[in-house]
Amino acid sequence: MYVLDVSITNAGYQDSRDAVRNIRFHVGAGELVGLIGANGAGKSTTIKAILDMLPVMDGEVRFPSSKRRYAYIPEQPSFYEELTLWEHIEFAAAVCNMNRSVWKSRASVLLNDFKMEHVIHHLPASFSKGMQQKLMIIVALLTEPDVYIVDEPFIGLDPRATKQFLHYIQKEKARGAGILMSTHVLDTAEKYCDSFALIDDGEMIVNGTLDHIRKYTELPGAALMDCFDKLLG
Amino acid sequence: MKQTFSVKTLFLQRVADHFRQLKALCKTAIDWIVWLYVILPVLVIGGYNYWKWWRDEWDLSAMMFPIETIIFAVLFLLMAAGSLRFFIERADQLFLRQYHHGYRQLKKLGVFYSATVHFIILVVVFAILAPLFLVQLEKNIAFLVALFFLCWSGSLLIPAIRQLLQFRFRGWRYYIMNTIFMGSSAAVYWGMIHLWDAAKTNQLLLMAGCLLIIFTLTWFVLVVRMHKTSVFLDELANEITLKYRFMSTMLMSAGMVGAPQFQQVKTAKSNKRPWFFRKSGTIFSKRTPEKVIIELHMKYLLRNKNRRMLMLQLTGTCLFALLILPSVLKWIVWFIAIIMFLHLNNSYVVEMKRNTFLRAYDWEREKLALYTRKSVFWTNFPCMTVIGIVAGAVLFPWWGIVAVGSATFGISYLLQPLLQK
Repeated sequence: MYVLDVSITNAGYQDSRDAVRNIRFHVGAGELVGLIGANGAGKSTTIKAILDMLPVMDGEVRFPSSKRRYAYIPEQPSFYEELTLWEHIEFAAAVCNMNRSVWKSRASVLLNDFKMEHVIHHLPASFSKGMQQKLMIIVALLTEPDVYIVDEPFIGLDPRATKQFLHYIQKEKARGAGILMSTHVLDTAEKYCDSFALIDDGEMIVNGTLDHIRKYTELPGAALMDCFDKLLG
Repeated sequence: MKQTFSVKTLFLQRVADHFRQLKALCKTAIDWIVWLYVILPVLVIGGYNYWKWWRDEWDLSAMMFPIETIIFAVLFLLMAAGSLRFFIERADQLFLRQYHHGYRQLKKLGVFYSATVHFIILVVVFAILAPLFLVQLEKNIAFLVALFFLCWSGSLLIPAIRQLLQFRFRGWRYYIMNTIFMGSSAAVYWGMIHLWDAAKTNQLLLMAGCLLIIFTLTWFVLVVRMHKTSVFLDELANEITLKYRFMSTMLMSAGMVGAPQFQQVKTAKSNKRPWFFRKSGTIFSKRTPEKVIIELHMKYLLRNKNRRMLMLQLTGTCLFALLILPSVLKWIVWFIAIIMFLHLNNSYVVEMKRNTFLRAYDWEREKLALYTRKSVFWTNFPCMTVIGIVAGAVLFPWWGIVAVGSATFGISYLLQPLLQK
């Protein structure tokens, strides 16, 4: 069963209408798909196209679940400077119509796990980049959506928070959530992702499991990094 | 060929870039056709009133508000709003900052630039106020000139001292020190003007003496300010705030908020917790998407100093205009105020809706439009109440407060969907 089905013919901006082209893949329930590519390959643009944040979009993005529930963790933490950490959590819970006792207990666990309880009434603008990223992760995990769309989650996170995040990702997979994760950290991606979508110069090069990519690159038993290197030559 | 590095050229290039940006902004962000409808009548009405200020003498004793105090207060506020710009940039930390002489020269040129800009602004303001001083308040030319130089000097002295306080104190300590300083400055300013006004003999000598003291103090403080080291990040934060102060106001008014990606510079100990709703308190007990959007909008205004101050300043300006203008113009001001606040709050809504955090949720467009319409109504509520009451009180007897107050809300509510972006 798919939770996200992406079919982009072309998408981009007014001055570059086909920044990404011919991107087709899907994310299944309980599946973690790694969106990988070099700097400027079009990973973040693809994510923006999926989230309907681009002025030009020719294609279709389907969330087969009737409620279209997704959570987005952007590469650059995005928040309201005028709201505290707790108010962001409350905002997300209210927008998703969550039961008060449910979201409160869930928030308490997440804040404790990500070591953020001491700053709940602080403004995120005073946080470090890593703490701001944790805010994004907490708010996303709080709502337990069907799909997670995660853009470069490891930037700025300390090792402990990275481990905690990966632990939650596994937990959410087990719950049945689908995850699309764009990343540069290929060894982590190789260890945790079920399949990959490799993008170069705005176009999809290959899509499938690591075994499929190994066959495609004719590098049996090779690491994802080596396949990536060969594909991008 | 040996190439020499000139701080002066660098400075001039940065100033030129700044003005180029402003010019581009004026071209793109402002709908000049719409503004012509505002500017032309303002120029005509303003020009006519200005001519009348020179020609007709007012009966000051019959006026319901102290015009002299208001003018001096406005001049003080203008002085307090002065700024010191050095045109430093983030990349200066890599190279220029290591060359103390060049870096100080850049600051010196910045002081010269700030002094020139304030001089020009004050010339315009004093030219406008000249008939009030010379004809209505019957002050002499010497008083006007001395007041001009006092304001000019103050517009450099006050920001310089405030910046020094900013480097030394943080958070609530800064607010206390700043309040004490501004209070003392106002006392000195008021005292000096009173002294000049009361002097029957040797007024010229007194004014020259006072100005000499103020100029010396300004020079001394500016030297201290320029020699202040290890405050690069604060200086940069200050510079970015000043650079975008004018631009963001223009963009807000033009409804293009959020167009440039402003770089945020975090100072060492910026406020960690907000002043209002310190413990993340809620405004509405019911937590529905509608209520949290309204609450977001309210906190968006309350917790941001620039937005809060802009709303207060605009309300103050409208009230001032309602008090001093003739009846016909009062009606125009009242109507413009309704449109202006709707426009401003709708611009904030556009800015709020552009945030990725909000966009990451799946909103139904119609519902979000309805929620934001309600949020604009509630955030407009305090300003509309004050303006409606004052307009009613100055235009009609007691019942005008109720009638104009209600009309203000009614018109504001009816016009709101038309101005929604």
